[in-house]
Amino acid sequence: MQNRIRTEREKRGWTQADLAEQLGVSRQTVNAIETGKYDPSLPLAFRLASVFDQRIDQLFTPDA
Amino acid sequence: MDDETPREQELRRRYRRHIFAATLVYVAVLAPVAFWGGLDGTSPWRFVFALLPLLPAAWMFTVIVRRFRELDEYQLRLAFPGVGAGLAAAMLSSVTFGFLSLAGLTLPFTAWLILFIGGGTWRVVNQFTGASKQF
Repeated sequence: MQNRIRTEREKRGWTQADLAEQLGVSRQTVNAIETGKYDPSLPLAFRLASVFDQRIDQLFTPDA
Repeated sequence: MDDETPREQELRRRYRRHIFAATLVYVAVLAPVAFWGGLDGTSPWRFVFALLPLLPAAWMFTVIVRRFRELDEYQLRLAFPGVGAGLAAAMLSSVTFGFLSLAGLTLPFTAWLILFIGGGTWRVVNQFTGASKQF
């Protein structure tokens, strides 16, 4: 799964820690998602979509 | 740690404070029980004294369980291999010591050995999975 989390976060000038605080997860988790090491659960994907005010399919795309 | 959010830092520090306190109480109870509890005597109270360290041990257990409940989904995923490996190591060593005992080789303190093998494996595997920083 590919995602645009880092791009969207940097666009808003947030650090990984800022985003982690908003999502209620660890910075380690945000980093793992951004680097593609971890695909979040559906509830966390919805929280990401809500924080960035985007749809899930705008943030995540399946590997080709 | 610099790469943690303030909430993560607070939770991890609280865990370390509580597990340290629980361990301290465990040792404080264990030492007098072992030296003056008369565990090798004949008084029926020796069973009560022998089980007294279970109280702080139960406290340690609840501190660890609460820590697991504080972890998020990715951190839990990192923590599972260590828990699984620790459990497997403890079970394997238990069976090993059991069979050795059947064959007539009874090693001293095998219950404690199993505890340290299981706990030690958990800690070592955590170093490789990246879960060690949670504990």
